[in-house]
Amino acid sequence: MFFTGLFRFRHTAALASASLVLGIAACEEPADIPPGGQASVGGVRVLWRTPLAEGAHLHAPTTDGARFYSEGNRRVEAYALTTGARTWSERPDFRTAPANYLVRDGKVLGVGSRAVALDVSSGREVWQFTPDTTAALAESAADERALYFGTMSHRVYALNHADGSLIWSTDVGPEWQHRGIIRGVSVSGDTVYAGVDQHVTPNGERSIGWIFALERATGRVLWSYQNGTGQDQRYIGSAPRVVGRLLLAVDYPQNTFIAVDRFTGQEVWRTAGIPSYAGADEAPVVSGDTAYAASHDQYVYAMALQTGHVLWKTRMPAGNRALAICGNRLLANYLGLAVLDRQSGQLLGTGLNDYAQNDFPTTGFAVAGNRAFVSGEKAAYGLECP
Amino acid sequence: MLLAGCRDDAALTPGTGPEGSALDAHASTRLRDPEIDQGDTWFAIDIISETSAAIPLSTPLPDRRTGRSVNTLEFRPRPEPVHVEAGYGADDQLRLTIYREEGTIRSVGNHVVSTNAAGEQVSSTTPGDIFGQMGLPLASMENTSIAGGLFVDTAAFERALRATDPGDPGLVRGRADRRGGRIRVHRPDDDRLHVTVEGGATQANTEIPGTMVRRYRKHARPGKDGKREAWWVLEEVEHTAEMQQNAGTRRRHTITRIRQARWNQNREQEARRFAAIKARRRSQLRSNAAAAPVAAPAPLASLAPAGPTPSTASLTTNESEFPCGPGGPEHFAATGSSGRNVVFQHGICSDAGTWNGMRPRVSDRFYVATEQAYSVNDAAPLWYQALELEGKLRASGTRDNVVVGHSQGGLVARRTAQMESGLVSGVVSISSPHTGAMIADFTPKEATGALVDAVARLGGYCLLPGCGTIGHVANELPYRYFSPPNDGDMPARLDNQRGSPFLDSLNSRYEPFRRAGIENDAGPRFSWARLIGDAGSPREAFNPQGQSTVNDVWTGYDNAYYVMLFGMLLMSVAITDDCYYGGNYWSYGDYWYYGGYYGSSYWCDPYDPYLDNWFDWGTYHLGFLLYFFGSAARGVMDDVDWTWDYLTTRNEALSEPYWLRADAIGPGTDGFVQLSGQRYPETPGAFSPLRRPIPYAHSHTGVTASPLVLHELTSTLGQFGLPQRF
Repeated sequence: MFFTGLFRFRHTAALASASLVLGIAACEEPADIPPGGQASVGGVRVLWRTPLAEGAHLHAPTTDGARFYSEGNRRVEAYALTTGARTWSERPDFRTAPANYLVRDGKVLGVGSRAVALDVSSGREVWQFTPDTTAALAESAADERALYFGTMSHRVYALNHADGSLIWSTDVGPEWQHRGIIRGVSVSGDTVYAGVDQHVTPNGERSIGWIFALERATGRVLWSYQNGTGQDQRYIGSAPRVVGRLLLAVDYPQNTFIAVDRFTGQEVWRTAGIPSYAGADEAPVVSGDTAYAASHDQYVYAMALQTGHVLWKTRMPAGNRALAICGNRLLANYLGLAVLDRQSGQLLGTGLNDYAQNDFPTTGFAVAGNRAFVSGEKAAYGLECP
Repeated sequence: MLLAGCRDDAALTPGTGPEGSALDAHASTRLRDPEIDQGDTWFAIDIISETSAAIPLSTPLPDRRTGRSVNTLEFRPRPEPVHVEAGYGADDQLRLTIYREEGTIRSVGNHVVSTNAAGEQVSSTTPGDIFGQMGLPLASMENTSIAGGLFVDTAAFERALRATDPGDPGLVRGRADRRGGRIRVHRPDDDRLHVTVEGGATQANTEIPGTMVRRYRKHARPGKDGKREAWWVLEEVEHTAEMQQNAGTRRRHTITRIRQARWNQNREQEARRFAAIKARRRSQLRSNAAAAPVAAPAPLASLAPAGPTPSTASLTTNESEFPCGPGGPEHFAATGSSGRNVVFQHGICSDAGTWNGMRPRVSDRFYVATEQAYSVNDAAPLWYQALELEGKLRASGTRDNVVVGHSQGGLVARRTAQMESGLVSGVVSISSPHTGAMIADFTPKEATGALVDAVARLGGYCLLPGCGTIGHVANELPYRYFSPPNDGDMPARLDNQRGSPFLDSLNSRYEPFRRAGIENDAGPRFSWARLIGDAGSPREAFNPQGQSTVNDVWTGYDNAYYVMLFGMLLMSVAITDDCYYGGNYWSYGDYWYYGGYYGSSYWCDPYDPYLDNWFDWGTYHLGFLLYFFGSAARGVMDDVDWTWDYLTTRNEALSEPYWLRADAIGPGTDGFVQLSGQRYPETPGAFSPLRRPIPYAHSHTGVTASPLVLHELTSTLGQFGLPQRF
């Protein structure tokens, strides 16, 4: 079409006249990354972009340093890290898609309504296990021996990830009257930690958050940390993150970050985001003595690891879904990619946000060295950070 | 009773004026109500009574909370709308349906009141009798008649006024009614009338002393002969009373506000109108092969006898065009489990088609058990709709559902969930006007008029490519989003107003369920164009241009800019000709002078007469015309944009009429509901409403098809602990 949208100057006609004098270049919009277009944003280079085979990707992907594994519409796909070439694509019988994926001992592990292990090189199913109910709302974890996950029936499972056999399972709330949902599991040393959402009313408008520490070998409960008394809505919204002596967790409905001593179960600090907003989907990530978190209140936070003191916070264009440390950058997924300087919090750029084409990232990040990988509504992306 | 204005002429002789009979509980008033056409006119009335009372106690009572003695019992206003529908059936029976709620106890029923009919004369009963016959203890209703909420026969009313005090538009005069009370009629201006009855009112044969003021407002409407007719409408009753009771003198002050609306005044006429509009749009759709049809939803197996289930064809694009208001096929079906399902509730002037983009992807992960495709009447008062949804959920046999409501549907969902029936365990609202929508402040006529005025200003300049789309959109908007089924108004609009009793009540209630509000911002410019044709939106089918609507508007805006620049360039050439550059002379004129700036590779003749020849003259004026049209087109497009933004997002810190000021617009809108209105309020409760803002993307109508919203929704449903599809 004649003169079609070469650029868009969005001010009045009077200002438009002035722009003629000042130069048309001043009217250009800030650059974003269109699909296949610009190669970097905020210094982060887009290594590759591969269109998805089927459906949007929703859940946390993973990488083993050789491939990037992501899932959409319950179809798991593997991409070469360097080129983005899809190496295999399989649709295992998870029933319900897992919240996240893991790679251990040559297997891609995921737990939805079923736990399934796939061969990393072919995507072929190695084994599967069906728990008492779905675990699709909980992040799972694995160590050199076992796969750990939790269900909506407040039960934590440990499976031998070599063959999928049950090692133990523990009900962390056998006396609970209403729903109790394991929101995520992590493991460190000889302890497994589970973040829990216990409903104290039928609808869950009053709830208690728990962190349970379980003995890795037996599933015996070692201690528990209680967040709230049931007079309001609190819960631990994701898997606690283990950092030294601390467990970092997020109270999703209260938009609060919590640090707990992982040996005593005592709360060390808590830092609140902006009230009334939903909190972070993930526990803070840590580099050195700084913890970083991204909340639905639109801010990315940097906090002192030992005190929770907010060092800086930077507002994103929208509520955040995921955050990753990549080189000297922070990558935030606000259903668009935001790149921040890790030290100052300065927003260096935004991209991967072509909403007219519904092309934007939707998942968490998988990080390998100074490279990060993310999937979205239309494509998977490989990113390289300075 | 309040049928006085409807009495026959014989009853309106001096000395027996209108309000005298209004207080007579037993007057056998013969009514000829020209408003009520047999079988095709129905009225909706919201009656909100705020009653405060104080009773001094001869024997003090202990306060259970504080332990202190209480000498006076005080009753504070508790506004709770009572919704009444009224009309005459084909059997000449006056049918009243009253919906009310007291706490968690509901009483819904269809109550038929017998009336006497003789020819066109219909006798009615007194208000106390009406409500008494129903056995409804509507304590605050005793001074209000259902007929009083209807329109009053203006001709009789005016005759009564003339009879009492001809020629005086102000204070008419007082006189005694048959009980000896004084009646004063005061007319503050031509459109308002206050009738004060000193001596109180009569309730169930008991006279209640005090003062009652009825306030009427004159409305105009088309008459049957095509002429405008004026009708007096009772808007408010204020009653101050003192009653001797055993405990002492009870002082009571009651203000009853009556909001009434008519719809479906002539169903046959409206049906013909809708059919014509549908036919035209079908033709448009057929002629545009690019307009992809909206996929019909997958057949849903009904789990419950929940009314007639239409074929999937009834939910095709064409049927989705059915405008707001009553009627339309009702569809309520269920798949999935018996509990903890996702239920979709659409917004005003909408239907199940709004979920076509989202439903398949949500149901891929969660159980989508039920959906509210058509409300029986999405223009009805919202708590009426909430009862409707609640009834259908109950009939479906499901429990603990999570209701996802778009726009007005979010308010309906909240109201349904607040009933604590066990049917709803969570609410997710999407772009819902929790604290009211500014657009609802305008009547359909006002909003349409403002936009049409702006578009009309644009019309003269709309010669550029893409600009015609604006006219197309403007043609669609008033109908799609403003035009109610008839010339009346929609009760739902009133409930969506900021500060409405419904919203006040909604936002002051404890919400015993998990809740989240997804907020949406369509961006600062041309949001009105986004309302039709957002990418992926089911509404895209309404506009053959689809998403290109927004692009075309931008293109037109850009083109106007380029034309303006080109015009400026021509003007510049015309007045700066005869220039020397790089060793070559060039001129559009016939001659030039050598008096420029030598020593440079570029110079212009400073002695060149301005527009010294026809070529220069023509070039300059062509440039001027292009500049004028370009800048004017942009200015008027700005005008359209700001007019719409003013209707939906205006900055109320500024006084009117600054429509064309950029700062007259508030921050953020999705094209229909301002961001501040979308904010899920901090209603009483023990938990956060979990606001989830999403980035600049879709408009109000496209938001339910937005993948951005989809991801927010599925994430939220997971946080609610909704069972995953297994």
